[in-house]
Amino acid sequence: MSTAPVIQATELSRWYGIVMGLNNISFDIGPGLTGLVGPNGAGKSTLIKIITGQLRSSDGELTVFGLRPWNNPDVLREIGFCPEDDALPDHLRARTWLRGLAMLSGIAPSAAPEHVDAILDRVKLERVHWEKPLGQFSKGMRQRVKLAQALLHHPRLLVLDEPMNGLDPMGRQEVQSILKQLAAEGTAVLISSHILHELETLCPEILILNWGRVIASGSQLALQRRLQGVEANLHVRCSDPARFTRVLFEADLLLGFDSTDTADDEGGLNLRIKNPNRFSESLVDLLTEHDIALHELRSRDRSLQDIFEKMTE
Amino acid sequence: MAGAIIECSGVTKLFGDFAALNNVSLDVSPGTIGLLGPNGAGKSTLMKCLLQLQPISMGVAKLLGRDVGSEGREIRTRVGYAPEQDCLISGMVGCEYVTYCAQLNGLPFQEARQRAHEMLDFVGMGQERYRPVDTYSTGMKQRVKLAQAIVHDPEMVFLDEPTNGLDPKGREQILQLVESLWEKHNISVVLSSHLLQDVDRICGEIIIIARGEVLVKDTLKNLKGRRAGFAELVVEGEHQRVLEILRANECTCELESNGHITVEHGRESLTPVLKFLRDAGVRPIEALPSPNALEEVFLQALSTHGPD
Amino acid sequence: MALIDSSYTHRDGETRGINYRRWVIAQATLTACLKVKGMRWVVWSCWIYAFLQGIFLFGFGQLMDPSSTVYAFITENLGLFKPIAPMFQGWAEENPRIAIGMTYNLFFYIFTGAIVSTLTLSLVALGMAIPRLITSDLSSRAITIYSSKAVSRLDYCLGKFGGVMLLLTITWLGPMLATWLMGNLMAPKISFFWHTAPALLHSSMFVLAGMIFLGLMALGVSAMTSSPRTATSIWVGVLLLGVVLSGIGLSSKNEWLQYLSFWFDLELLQRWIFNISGDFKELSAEYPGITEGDIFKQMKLRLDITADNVAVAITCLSLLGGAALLTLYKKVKPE
Repeated sequence: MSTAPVIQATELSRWYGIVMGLNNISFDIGPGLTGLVGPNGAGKSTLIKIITGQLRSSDGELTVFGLRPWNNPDVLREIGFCPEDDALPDHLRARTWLRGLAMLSGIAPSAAPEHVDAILDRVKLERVHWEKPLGQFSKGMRQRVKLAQALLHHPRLLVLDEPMNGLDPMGRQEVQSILKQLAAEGTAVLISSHILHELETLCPEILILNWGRVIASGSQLALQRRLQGVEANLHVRCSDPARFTRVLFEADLLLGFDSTDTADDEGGLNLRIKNPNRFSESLVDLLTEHDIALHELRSRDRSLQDIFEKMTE
Repeated sequence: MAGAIIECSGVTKLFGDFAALNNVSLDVSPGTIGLLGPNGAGKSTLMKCLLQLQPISMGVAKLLGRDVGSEGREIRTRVGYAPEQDCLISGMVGCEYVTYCAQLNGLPFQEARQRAHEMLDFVGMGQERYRPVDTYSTGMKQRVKLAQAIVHDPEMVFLDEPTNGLDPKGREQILQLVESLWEKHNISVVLSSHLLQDVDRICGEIIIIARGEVLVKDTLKNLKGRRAGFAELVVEGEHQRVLEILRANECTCELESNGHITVEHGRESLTPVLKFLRDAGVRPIEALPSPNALEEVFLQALSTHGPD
Repeated sequence: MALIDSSYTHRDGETRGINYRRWVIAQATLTACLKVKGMRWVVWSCWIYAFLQGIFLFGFGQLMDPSSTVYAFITENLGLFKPIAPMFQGWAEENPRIAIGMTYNLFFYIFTGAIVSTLTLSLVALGMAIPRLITSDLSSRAITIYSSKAVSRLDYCLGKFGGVMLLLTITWLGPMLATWLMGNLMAPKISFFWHTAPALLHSSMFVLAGMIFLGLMALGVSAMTSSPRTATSIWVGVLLLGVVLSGIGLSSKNEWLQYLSFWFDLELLQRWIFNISGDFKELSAEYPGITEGDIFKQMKLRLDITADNVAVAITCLSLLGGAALLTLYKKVKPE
């Protein structure tokens, strides 16, 4: 990586008495969007708490912008945190609450209103809601307020725990585009989420935790390459599945297959391909030669879901 | 055909002046039905009105061929419901809770107890069933909610956001279970979710609701058909060159932020597309037809009807 | 995933009717109440109390029979009571309607309504049970689950009411019946049953009326809030308010204030049902001398009530019960 890492962990551990939170992990997270993935109890929350300075590590070291976040206001000033639970003061109005927070984080009282309005616009909270008490907000609106709260002091690192929870599909798209924009402007963004297909399109970099250990970190591309083996699993839909399998078999490309041909998945096949390289070279010729119309060609070991399943097996 | 499971005519639900459901008329056949819509569109309200959790202001709604207004209670012995929020009875242990729910639907105790354990097996709950429900994690709660919804062997179940808050493995398991309900056990499923992918995977029929009105009701296959002629290509590197090749072959195409290329090729099959790409020396790793069809249809439906 | 696929089976058993489902709710409510810390102690106390009362009544019954051990014990060992026992026995022979029936009626009047009684213990039990009745369902949104099952809001309330009735049965009605049975057990004559029957009838009527009223009140209070502490506080508040109102009413000129206290109303109802003043009238007709004493005069003054008093009391109780029903109607809703 060309730039200095934003978050760097070296032999980091965290224990709760005899219970393990994180076990001797080391990784670098650079600028841009990074997805944090793992099953429940993998240590994601512990890691997030250490990064945002709410917990101290038991062993090893974690630095953000080169400094330890624990008890260090200089670093915390650079971090914005959007927690998963929504503990918002129900009786306060969105604007009032954020103005108060803005002043707490050192923005001049005279500048605060304008500042807050700009942020609320940025998170696309409709203006009609700005003066409503937070208690009346829907889940989606609360998520936006939480995001606004994390952005108030223009952090250089934004940490989000399940930021899209409870949002409808449009809301999800909007939040994703906000996050992308922030990343483009140079903010490092760390997103913990269970919705893998969203992270897949959103985050070029991925950090996978399981049982308190890092089991993979790096770019999705690198992870895909690492998993590429001598055989490939594909899902195919074509006009004549029986013929297609025979053709592939004759060309000595097929290791195995099973048909998934149903009303929803007409002409569907799951294929195990022997020599992926040769397969992709000869695919078009085989199709044209035997006059088979291909409707779908999907890899079954490239998506983040596939990677995750393989890695946490 | 077994007859419609849901029939609504002119169903309206008012909260003061606000119409959460506005003159909804629907006929739904047995199957797996996905209920989509933005926050506050009326999805949950529709479910609640059908289950009589909220009274209908105007109109007639029927479940399984019987009027919910007059026969609601007896219909509910044949219907299951897993609400979005937590709804466990504190102080009970998991299997006690599911047994109790079965008894509330009229199962005698002996049978209720037996089925409760079978359903807890079915949803993959182990020894946690003997722990108080107050101590459950999100995953366990979702499982127990599903178990109590099917414990009385209903003919249809309403599931409101059943995968919310689950980790990838948990989601996968719950989705498999829900999928098997219709495929293997002939129980109709009405599922509401914000995750279009889940709906895409499970549901045969889609209903899109916004501002209390039904915008779209069609089978997933037909909806995807509307997006035929579109495809998404995954290639490694040289995106710009691929775009040029595609444009040279009279395709409209666009590079997405995740490096995939969406292309409108307008052809029945992908074979010719792959052929001219191959001739130019490009071999896509993946070629997916009508990608994100559901999302496109969803956004389109909402935008054509205007945001307000 | 074979494990997941295999285990679902369709059922084709019977589906029980609505009364069964209501009964299930009642049972579950009782079970939840009995799980409250300390509840078992309260229930045991009620029965121990009933047992003690029963022993007392048993002794009383044995006084009628000169051949019994108790009779012998009292005449031989308790010098003070030596003359009383034979006297009483004679009286009971001569006029059992008054000697046995009226005494029993007075005993049960005291047992069912005294300051320290199973009524008080039942109120404590209700206070402990209240957070588990409807309050916890409100806070955990379990009402949604009930309503999505084959039970309506009415069925839910009926079931919960049944649960409270069951609880009060084991803390109040049950012990009362046990007391009566113990008192009549090994009674010297079969006619004893006959003479004590009015006391049983009066007690049952009053206890049942009280149970229905208190049960409604408890459900109403329980439905007012979703916070267990607030619910308990409201219940204690309602009880204290009753005491305070009747106190103020009694000491000030505004006697009507007393009617606002449900304690006072219940007491009026009890006096009316037990008809103690009627008993006194009968007593003074039979034995004009006895009722001339100051104590009797004062008691008579206190116990004398008119039909109007009772009507007002019953109206007030009904209003309170109605308020409880209204609370249930307003609050017991999904979401």
